[in-house]
Amino acid sequence: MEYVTTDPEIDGLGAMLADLVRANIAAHPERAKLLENVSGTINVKAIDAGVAVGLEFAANRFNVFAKPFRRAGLEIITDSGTLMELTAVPLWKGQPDVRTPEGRTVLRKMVRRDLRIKGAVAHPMLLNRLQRLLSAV
Amino acid sequence: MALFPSEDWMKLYVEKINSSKDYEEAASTWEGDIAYVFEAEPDKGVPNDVWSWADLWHGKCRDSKWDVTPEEGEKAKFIIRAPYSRWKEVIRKELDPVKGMMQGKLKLKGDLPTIVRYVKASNELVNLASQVPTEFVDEQ
Repeated sequence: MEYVTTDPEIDGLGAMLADLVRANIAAHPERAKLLENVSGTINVKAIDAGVAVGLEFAANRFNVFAKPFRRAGLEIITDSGTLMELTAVPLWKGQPDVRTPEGRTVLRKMVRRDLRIKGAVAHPMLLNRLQRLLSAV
Repeated sequence: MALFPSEDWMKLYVEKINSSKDYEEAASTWEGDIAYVFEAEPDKGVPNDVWSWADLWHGKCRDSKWDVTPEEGEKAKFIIRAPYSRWKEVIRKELDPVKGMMQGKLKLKGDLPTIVRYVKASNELVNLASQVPTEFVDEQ
């Protein structure tokens, strides 16, 4: 079953996120369950690269769009390097594990507002599912 | 000084890789070959796509080949491709490769989770490329 659908126009960041989720589900089939019983939209912006994409959890699928949503439940705004770091940080209960150096780096970036996650309080499950789905570790 | 792109440049690059302690440490568990594709830009002196190949293994480059066929190159675990002038920007450190990939300027084929886990090693490979004394083919 194809769990990831992509906008035909996606390139760069969108293609990377779609590939990452596809590869993670192929390597860890149990992660497909992360798509169940959750819906919502997420914008991801890599400021230094000047690119932004829209992601959507809907009907047991992960949809990737070439353009961000006008209004999304969650919005992740940071630089391209930090986005990569977010996918490589060890997780604990779906959140960056601050017991690890990588987790503490992410936390520091959030405190300094080098990494901003809007909507995390209103949509904690959506953020948790996204982190686990994108995690390459 | 070596001309980029050329086999001489590739040899110097491999020497840099094999003498780097930082790369050896960052890629100590890396196992996988990479094909680099320097896409043609005839107006800049690169008339055809050039495929090169490097067998990277536990922090060293065990083997490399210049101007392999696309059929041979396609067998590599990872393929990174971009037009010549993008590679020039990467070597000059004017374009960060991660940013370039997110902008669609560099294309990566291969298991992305693996690349993500080795970002430090990938960055070190770029640092080493920038240390090769280079003359660019369109600036001769």
